[in-house]
Amino acid sequence: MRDRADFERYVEQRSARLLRTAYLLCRDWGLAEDLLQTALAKAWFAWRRVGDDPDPYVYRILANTHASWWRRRWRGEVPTEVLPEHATEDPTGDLGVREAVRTALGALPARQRAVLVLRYYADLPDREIAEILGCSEVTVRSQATRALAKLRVDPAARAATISGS
Amino acid sequence: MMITESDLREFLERDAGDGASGGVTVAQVDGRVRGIRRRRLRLLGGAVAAGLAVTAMLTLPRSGGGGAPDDVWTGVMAQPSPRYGARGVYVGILDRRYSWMGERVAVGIPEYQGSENAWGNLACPRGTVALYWLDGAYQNALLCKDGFVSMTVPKGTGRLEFAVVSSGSVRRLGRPLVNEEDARQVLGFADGRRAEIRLTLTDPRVEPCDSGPDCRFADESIPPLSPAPTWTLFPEYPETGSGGG
Repeated sequence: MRDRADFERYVEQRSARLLRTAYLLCRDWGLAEDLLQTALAKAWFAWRRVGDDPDPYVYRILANTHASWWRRRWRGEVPTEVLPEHATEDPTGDLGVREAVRTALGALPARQRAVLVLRYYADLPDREIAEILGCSEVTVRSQATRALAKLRVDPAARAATISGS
Repeated sequence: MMITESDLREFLERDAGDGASGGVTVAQVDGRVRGIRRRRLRLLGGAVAAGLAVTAMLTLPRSGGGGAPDDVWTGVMAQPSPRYGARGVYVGILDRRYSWMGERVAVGIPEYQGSENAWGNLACPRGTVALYWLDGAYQNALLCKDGFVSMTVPKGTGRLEFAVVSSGSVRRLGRPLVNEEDARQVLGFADGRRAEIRLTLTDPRVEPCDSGPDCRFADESIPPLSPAPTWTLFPEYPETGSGGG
């Protein structure tokens, strides 16, 4: 049975990586900390029932909590003291691509973003992602395909990666 | 412009690495746990109040019924309306005092009626650290910051053990105290000293009531929270001679 010391060890060892995952889900460091603290607190309430690997359970809470926050979020105008900087041309093109991907990633629905983050950042197989998000593997694949299309990920390169692996 | 899947992996890795901090701390998570508990208690209180309101609506006699026919005389004796309320009852199930710190003390948990967890409160010298075990399993080390520490003792626990040690004994460990082995080592570093320690266990319950002090009804406004219980605060524990490091 898992105990308090075990939970503290888990938080110390995994929270940095989980925080990055939370950030990729919500794109805001402050919100990511909030999200992770809430997810770990919820995990603590069920800690004695969590199996040997708490990661899938914590990922599930992270994804579900983020999805519910995303549904309730304020979509109106946000007052700001400083105007955002204007984008300028990037001579190497690298920053432009990064910014374009960042913007496209930020515009994805919560579920599609969660699929990409769990697949390409947490390196989880589709079967595990399906369990975490509470859907079928087919849904995971279709959500990933739609999200990748929006991010303009090269389908040829993707096919090569999949067939090569 | 197209990107590849490996570009995407690299992007996510780099994006998450930019401005990343070291994660969250156990203390922050504990704070959030307390917040969630408070919110759940408030929701529970609201549900109880709503339940009482529904019960009262269904059971209290109503006015404005059909009028009596003119040719029949009817009369009803005035009688008090029954009221249905609830009262929080806090029953002390254990109260022990100790005058020595630096050693592990075992206490059997007496049987109690409530179905909820018991609340434990350990009054200890400020600045010391209280370690505790439930049924032999190490649970946590709590800093006796305000002259007492609190713990939850799940229903069904047979034995509570605790040890109050100086913070110097914990520092001598040289790393965070996280498990049974660490706790055993800290106890090895601790030296026995006189100290005023008091352990109390409380069984919190909710009882139905229709009158009397603290009986709360659904149709009355909620008064402000009563002040927090006052605990006996002991003077700061002297750090001198409490172990090296």
